[in-house]
Amino acid sequence: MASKNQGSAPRALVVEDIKVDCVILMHMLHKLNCEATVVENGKEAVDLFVEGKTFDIVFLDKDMPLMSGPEAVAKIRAMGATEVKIVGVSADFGGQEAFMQAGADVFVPKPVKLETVAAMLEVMMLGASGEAPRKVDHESHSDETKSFAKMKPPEKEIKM
Amino acid sequence: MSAANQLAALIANMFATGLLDDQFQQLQMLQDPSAPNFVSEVVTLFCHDGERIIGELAKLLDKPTVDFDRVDAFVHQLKGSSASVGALKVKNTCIQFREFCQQKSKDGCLKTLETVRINFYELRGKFQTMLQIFQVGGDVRGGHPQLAMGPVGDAGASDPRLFPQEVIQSGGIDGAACWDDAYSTPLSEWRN
Repeated sequence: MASKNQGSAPRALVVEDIKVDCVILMHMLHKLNCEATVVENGKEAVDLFVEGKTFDIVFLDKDMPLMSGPEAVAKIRAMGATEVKIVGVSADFGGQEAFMQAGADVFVPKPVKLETVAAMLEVMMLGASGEAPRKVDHESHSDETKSFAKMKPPEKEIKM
Repeated sequence: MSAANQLAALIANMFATGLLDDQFQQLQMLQDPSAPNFVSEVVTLFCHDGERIIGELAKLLDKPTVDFDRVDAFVHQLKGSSASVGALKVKNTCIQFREFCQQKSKDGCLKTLETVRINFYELRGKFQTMLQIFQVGGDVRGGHPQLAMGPVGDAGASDPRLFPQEVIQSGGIDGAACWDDAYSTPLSEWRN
């Protein structure tokens, strides 16, 4: 499933049930010139992929009604969407393991900061252009962006 | 005292008393000409959501048999939204609350709910004052939804509609004594 979107605004999917968090993240993405779509739970996110929608980056909260973030990540990867960058987001630090095991590329603790999202998009878009991502200056970035700079497609086979 | 200085002093006080943390500055930085009311919209949304959640928690804890998983889920929501707006005191109380949920302690939950309620309404009152001053400042500027900053540093180079971040950085804060005068309006007058 193609997800690369070279030469145009990054397409982001926000999967978040808490309205305040959703408004803030959507505003960050608009500020960073992304086309952002929002859904309220993991099932709606998976449904979009089933319908053939493609995204460059997906931000998922962990705890949501109907389907959690990690569960949705596992299903999205199982559908063959290996190129889309998936970011697990949670105020619960215990969510990192769940997201990474499910196939997320990176975990970011809440509250998410604008510079973190900006750094993620920068690395993602540089990678999508076919050029090697430029070396990230780790001195000037938070731990979150350092993690993202080392991002690579999941190596583990996703077990359903 | 100008509306800008009142606003700056209020926000400074909220930081100093532990009501807000630096995440609120993130919200301030996100406000720009394309979203001149961003902070007020987020703050308003937080206040509405917070009130709803506290109401749900009170109902759940009033039942003879408490569903601690549902209580925990609501507290988790409030903790998340508090963290996102920089509501430090409310967030920290939610962390304690979740511990009582894990312990399935109804007494602990009830006591912490009361603390959450007190901290939330204290914050909500300050937010309401903030928005009121913001609107007053806007009226002074001919109805535009912008802060009445007056000449603050190099005003010509800055967007006057930026929320108090610029006011704080400009050194427009007169100190705690000023805001005491500004916030003599009883809280009850701001409540719906």
